[in-house]
Formats: sequence, structure tokens, C-alpha cells
Amino acid sequence: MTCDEVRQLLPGYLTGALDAAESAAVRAHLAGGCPACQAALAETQVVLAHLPDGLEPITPNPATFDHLLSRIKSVPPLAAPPVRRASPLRYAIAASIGLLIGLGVAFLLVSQSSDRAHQLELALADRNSHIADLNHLLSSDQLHLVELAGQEPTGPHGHILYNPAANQWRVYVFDLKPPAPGRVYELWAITPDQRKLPAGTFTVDAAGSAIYSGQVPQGPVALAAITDEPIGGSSQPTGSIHLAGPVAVTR
Amino acid sequence: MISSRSDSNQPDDLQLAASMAGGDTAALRIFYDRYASLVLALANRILFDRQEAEELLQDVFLEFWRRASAYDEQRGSPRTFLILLTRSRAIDRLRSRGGDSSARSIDTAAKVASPAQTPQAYVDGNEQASLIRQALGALSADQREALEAAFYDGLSHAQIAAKLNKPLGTVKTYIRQAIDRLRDSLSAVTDGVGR
Repeated sequence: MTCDEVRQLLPGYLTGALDAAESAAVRAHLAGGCPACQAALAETQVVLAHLPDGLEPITPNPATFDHLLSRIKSVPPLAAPPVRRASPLRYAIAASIGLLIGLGVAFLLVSQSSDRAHQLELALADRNSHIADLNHLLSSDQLHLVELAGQEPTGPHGHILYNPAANQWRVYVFDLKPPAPGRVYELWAITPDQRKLPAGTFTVDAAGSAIYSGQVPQGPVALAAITDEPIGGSSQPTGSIHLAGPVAVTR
Repeated sequence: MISSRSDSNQPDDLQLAASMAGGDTAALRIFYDRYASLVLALANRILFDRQEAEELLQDVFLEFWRRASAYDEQRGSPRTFLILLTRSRAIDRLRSRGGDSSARSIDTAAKVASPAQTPQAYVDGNEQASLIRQALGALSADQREALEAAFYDGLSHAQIAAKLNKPLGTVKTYIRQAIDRLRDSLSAVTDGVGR
């Protein structure tokens, strides 16, 4: 798909009006990093976001903000790094550190209960495993970052830390809705000749986040994608594509 | 730029997002006062249900609050993010109701205040709002209906083509032309369409 064709479809892409093939083609073009089309996408977002200016504003019920505040008291903001954007790599690493901190908190909570030593051991083993995985990945001088994007700018997103030398990758996803009952998310390695190789299944926590580590299927990979599939996974994708990103690494 | 409002004595949206990430509810109050009426109008336009729109208003600001620390400026200004988040969540609710939203969209859109129909009502208000209203009013009826059916009703190009009884390619062109004209109108009084 050419840049002109992509730009023609950007409003439909952002509003979800395209058919599946068009949407996948636009997503692939954007994920390829075309700066002009990325800029056009951002510009189209801004224009769309100004459309409601054409509506008559509606003053909310005065009690609405109080209800909002009461809900907020029970739901504090997520951990507070700077609002300014960190690099994707730092973001992914920060997510790992967050997970490790979370496990540390779990450790402390668990340690308050002396009769839960087994859980404590499991938490420690899990944490150590994550640390080992992360150290192994980060020690590589061939580490690649793959950005995963969904269809909507406010929707799910993620990154993959990919070590082609070790044939391993570590996947981070955010804001992905928990899968429907009986389904899981499945990661796919898509080869340049369009073969879809299953690369493991995972689910997400209540906040829509997940970290998944695994072996990359043998052979060149052009695209990584995440679909929803029945529990146990599928041999070929059958569900919707939620996230995708170009890998563009030759092994 | 036509992005975040930034009165000289008021923090801009990025500053507010940063404060919210730190748990500052006073910043949330300012941000809410700045955009709640716009978010509610959008939610009500999509859902046609004031009570559900008020619920969505809470949900959207709550989600923004929770995600403030992870807010990514490269994914749009706080305002752009908030509006597109509202639209996305409202369309989710609309679709969860089931039924044929396409039947509603074209037929009932005209019942919502239309800038082309009531120009004087829109003369006042801030410059950007007036500009958008004028620009929407200057679109052809087909362009405006196609754009609004996509944005407010979440219809696919194919559904819009069927409802407007126009070829699929024509519908895509209408929407693209509408966006281009709105962008040009916005850019005419700013230094470019910012984020």
C-alpha cells in the first residue's frame, strides 16, 4: 500500500471503519515507521478530536465529580514515573522493574505470614527467574526493540525485547482487555512468506498488563502479532489481531 | 498550536497530567472543569442517554487518572487522548447494547444540534469551537453525514455506504475530504494542526 493510499484511509483506520484487510495493511505500513504517514496519523487524530467542539457543551451533574473523587480514593494512580515519554526500551525495562518491585512487595506481604513459607519461596523463585531472564536479555549486544501497536491510539500497546542470538524474546503488553472466558492471548511469529508460527499463550492481569518470555520459533521473522484464541492456543490464528509490530531482523 | 489550553495563570494540560500522576486531585479538578462538558457532550451524542453518558464521564476521567503516570505524549496531547478515549469507550458501550446502530445514525444525527442548521447558536464560545462549527457547516451534507456516522456512530465504510446509498469509494472520499477541509480550517487560524 502506498503512502497516498494509507493517508486516504487514516480517518477510517482511526475510527475503526476499515475492513480487516485494509486495517491490517495500514497498521503494517505505520508499524514500518513511515514518518510522513505517522505525522499524518497524528494530524488526523487531532482533527478528529476537535469534532466534538461542534457539539453544544453539556454541564455535568454537580455530584458527578464527587462520585468520581470517591472512586478515585479507592483507585490511586498507577506508579508515578515522569509523564514525559521515556524511550520504549526504558519503558519496557521500567515495566520489568515494576514487576520485580511488585514481587518484592508480594514477598513482604507473604513474609508477614509465617505459615505461608511455600508461597514465599515461589514468589522468590519467580522473581529470581525474571531477574535472570532480564539479565540474560539485557547483556546481549544484539538486543532489538519491537513496538507493538493496536488499531486505536488509545488502545492496547506493547513492546518486545528480542534477542535473535539467543533466539528469545520478552513481550510486554499494556491496556489489553482480559480475554473472554475460555480464551487466551497467543503470540505469533509471522515469517516473510506469511507462515504463522505459534509462539506461546498468555493472559493479562486486571490492569491489562502482561510480561511473557519465550523462545522464538526457528526461522526468519517479519512480524510479531497477538491474537485471542481458545485456551490451549491454536496451531493457526483464528481470532482477532489485537497487537502487531514489524520485527525486521534477519537471523 | 490548537492543542492544550494554556491560559497564562493556569497550568497547561501536560502539567496537569504530571500532577495527576503524582496523585494531585486539585489538578484533576482543573482538568475536569476544563473538559467535562465537552466529554459529556460527546458521550451523550454517541449514546443518546444522559445517565449513561454521565457514568461514562466518570469512567473516562477515572481511567485518565489511573493512566496519568503512563501517559505517553507521543500518543497525542492530553486533550486529544481524552477525547479519543471517550469516543472509544462510548462506542464500546454502544456496540455492547447490540442492535443496529447504523439505523440510528443517519436518521437521528440530524436531530442533534447541527452547526449548519443553527449557526447563530454557535457564534459565541471559544474560537476553536466556533471554527469547527463553521467548518462543519461548510461541508456538504454527504461529507458531514459520512464523517459523523464514522466518528459518532462507529459505522464501517461499508455500513455508511449502504445507509447513504453511495459507492464505497465515494464514502471514503467524502470522509477524507471532510477531514482535509477541517484541518485546513483549523490551520488557517493557528500555526498548524498541533497535537
